[in-house]
Amino acid sequence: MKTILPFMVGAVIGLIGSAQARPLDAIRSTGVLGLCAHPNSLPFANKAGDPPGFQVELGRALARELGVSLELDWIITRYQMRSAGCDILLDVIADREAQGETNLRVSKPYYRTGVILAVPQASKLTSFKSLDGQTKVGVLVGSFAAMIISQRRVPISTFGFEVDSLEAVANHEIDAAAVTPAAASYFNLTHPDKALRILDRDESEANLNWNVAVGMFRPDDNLREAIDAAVERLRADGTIDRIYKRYGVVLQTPK
Amino acid sequence: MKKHLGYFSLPVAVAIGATLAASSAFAQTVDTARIEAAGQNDWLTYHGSYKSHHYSPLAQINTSNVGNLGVAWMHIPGRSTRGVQSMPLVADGVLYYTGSYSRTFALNGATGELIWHYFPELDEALVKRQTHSPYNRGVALGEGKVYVGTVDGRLIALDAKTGRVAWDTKLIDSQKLTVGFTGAPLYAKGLVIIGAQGGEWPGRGPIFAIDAATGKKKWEFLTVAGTEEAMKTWGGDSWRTGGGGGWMPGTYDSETNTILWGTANPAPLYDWSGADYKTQGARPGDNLYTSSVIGLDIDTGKLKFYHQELPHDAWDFDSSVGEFVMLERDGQKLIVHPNKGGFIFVYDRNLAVKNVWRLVQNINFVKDIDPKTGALIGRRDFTAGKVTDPPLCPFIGGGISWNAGSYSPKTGLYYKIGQEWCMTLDVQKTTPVTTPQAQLNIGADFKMAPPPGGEIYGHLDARDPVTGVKKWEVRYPEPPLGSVLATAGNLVFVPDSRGVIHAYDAETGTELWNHNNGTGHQGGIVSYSVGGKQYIAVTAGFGGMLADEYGPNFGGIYKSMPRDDGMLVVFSLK
Repeated sequence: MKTILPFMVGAVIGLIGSAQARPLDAIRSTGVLGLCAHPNSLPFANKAGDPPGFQVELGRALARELGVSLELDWIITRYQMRSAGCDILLDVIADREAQGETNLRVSKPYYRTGVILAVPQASKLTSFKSLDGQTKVGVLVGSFAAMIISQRRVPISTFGFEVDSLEAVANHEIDAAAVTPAAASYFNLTHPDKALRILDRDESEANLNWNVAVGMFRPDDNLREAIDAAVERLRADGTIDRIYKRYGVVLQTPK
Repeated sequence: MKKHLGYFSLPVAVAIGATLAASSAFAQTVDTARIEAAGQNDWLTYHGSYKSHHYSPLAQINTSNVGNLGVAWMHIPGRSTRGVQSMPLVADGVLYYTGSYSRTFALNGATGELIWHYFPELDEALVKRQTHSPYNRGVALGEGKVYVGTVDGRLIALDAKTGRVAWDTKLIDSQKLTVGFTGAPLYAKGLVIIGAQGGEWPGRGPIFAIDAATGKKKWEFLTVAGTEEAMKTWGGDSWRTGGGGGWMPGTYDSETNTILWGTANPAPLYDWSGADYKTQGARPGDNLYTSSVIGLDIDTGKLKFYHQELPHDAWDFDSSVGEFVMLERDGQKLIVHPNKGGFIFVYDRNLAVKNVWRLVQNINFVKDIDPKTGALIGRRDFTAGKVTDPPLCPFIGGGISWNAGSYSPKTGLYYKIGQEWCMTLDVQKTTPVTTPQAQLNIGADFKMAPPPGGEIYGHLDARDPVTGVKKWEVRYPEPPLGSVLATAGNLVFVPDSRGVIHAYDAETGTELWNHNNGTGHQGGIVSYSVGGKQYIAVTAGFGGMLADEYGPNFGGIYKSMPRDDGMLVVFSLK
């Protein structure tokens, strides 16, 4: 994942507040673990709450493991987590370089994901390799998929929201959507009448695959160890798998 | 809300006269003809008049007596998150202005006495997570109403007499895009025009026209691919997420029946295409109509003419900033418009380029701009990676910022702030995407840097608006960010970033007076008259995307300057 570039902070430097590190002792003494999540990003998280999103459910499970309750802070971009003062972020790429200037430290990974193709059921497409100059692929603006696919001279169509790209496939406006497995799986769960075929990830393209971990903002060693142990327990007893499955997502083992 | 009367309280008789003048205001209405005429006692639209001179023909305060200027009254709007950025408006002795969160006030222009206030109920959860928020840059007046935009995507009309809501129209799905309105609206010909934020966000930057009487939408123009021709300039269907917007108010040209508006940059803000930007990168092509000036038919919203100041803007030097100064030279009717990159464009009334000149010395994003055609010469397009030697000039804050300059018909000079600063840059091809929607779409890390071989500074220039010939210049250690006001009293007022408001002789640049307001300026300044007395009103209060860079980069006074405070300060002769 070395080519994954740092998350941008650019124009928003001024919004970053002076956040304090939150050691495990402080979290336990206040009885609260802070989770930052996007308020409008199902299946990841949803401020409206029904369903709350797998990040919120996993955050609650992690807080229980630490013996505290979960406090949610809703952010729209990652740099806001510093001023929000939360402790963790979920579904982060388990790569220090990828986290760049966010200063997030990552836990041991708990699943593997990346970018897949969602295609109509009758599509002849079988993998990224079968894309050609005649197939139009929906991509998220500013994503690796946008760059990699367009460099192969495959026509792309840029979207700001993965669900819009999936809708465009379902409506036969484009031939495939390059999206996260979570978004595609949740789309199928919530649109059974329009369900798409989800192709397997292609591990041969390093930048379109990554492990996922808990991101921690300035943790002490105790918090890192506690989060790692909690993740391990929740993986072992099937809690994490069950949470994601409620959103139609089948997790794959980290690599 | 708190209100302070100044130390120099007015005599009772004058105060009563002023109150009467204020209350009689409502017998008159602000309409297109009145804004066009720009009566000397008022300030009826953001740019002063449709001619956008930001100039007051009042001369009671002048070079001989400006030394006697003192605070008449102050008003503190409260909850001034990220400072006060509004341009006050004045009609018949009543001053209207806004604070953060679109809190709107009507005050007696002579005494500061509150007539009414309106605090809109906003989607606070949404506002909290916005980036370019919650400041507001002012209102529009027309047909007995006060119009104000909100950061949660609404345009609201208030009864000018009472502050009661006349209508409240939702225009943008702010929940999805997180953008709304921070710029002031424009009233003209029975319509209220307002442009959306959007430069770095994955939208299409609409400009809306709303029926001033009913609040119903009359038309909408998409600054990103708003025509068939424009759609072809966005490779990879990148128009879907093109950014754009028109976040500052334009103006109205009654002779051509045209709305003139400046548009924002495309998204992602920085591109990694290198020289192959027509076919490569995140948004291949010229990206019409971003970083452009456009002329829209006011009745239909159809595009009549345009000039794209920066085709495929890869530097965030958009055209939303600044005024459309209308003037005549040698029988030609011209429009002067600044671009954030530090150039001043001179157009005819159909936006055909007549000249381009440099206000700012430190520019290297292009070698030059052809003054005859407006074509960019020697553009500097980046591939992914670091940009350090030389740094990119100007800094992302612009060679010219969003606040307004001023043109004095009396001296024939254009008074405009230039900013000399640069930045290092790390252009990124992509961002790791782990949520199912695009986030703030910048595409680079950057850091302020001094110009090669020099220091960061700002300057007020007095220039010929058409040729750019400089008559005089005043320098500041840090670039001022507020608007400039010229008056018929042969004065130019500059509210600076340290908190000092300066008055200069408009002919020579000699400083004649100053006053410390105690906090940085980054908003509007106007002049008006009530009961025969001239006033100067300026907003003070620092904070926001650009002002927040001052503490870390300049230290000193900016380290302790509050980011969430501010006020309106009104001056008159003692």
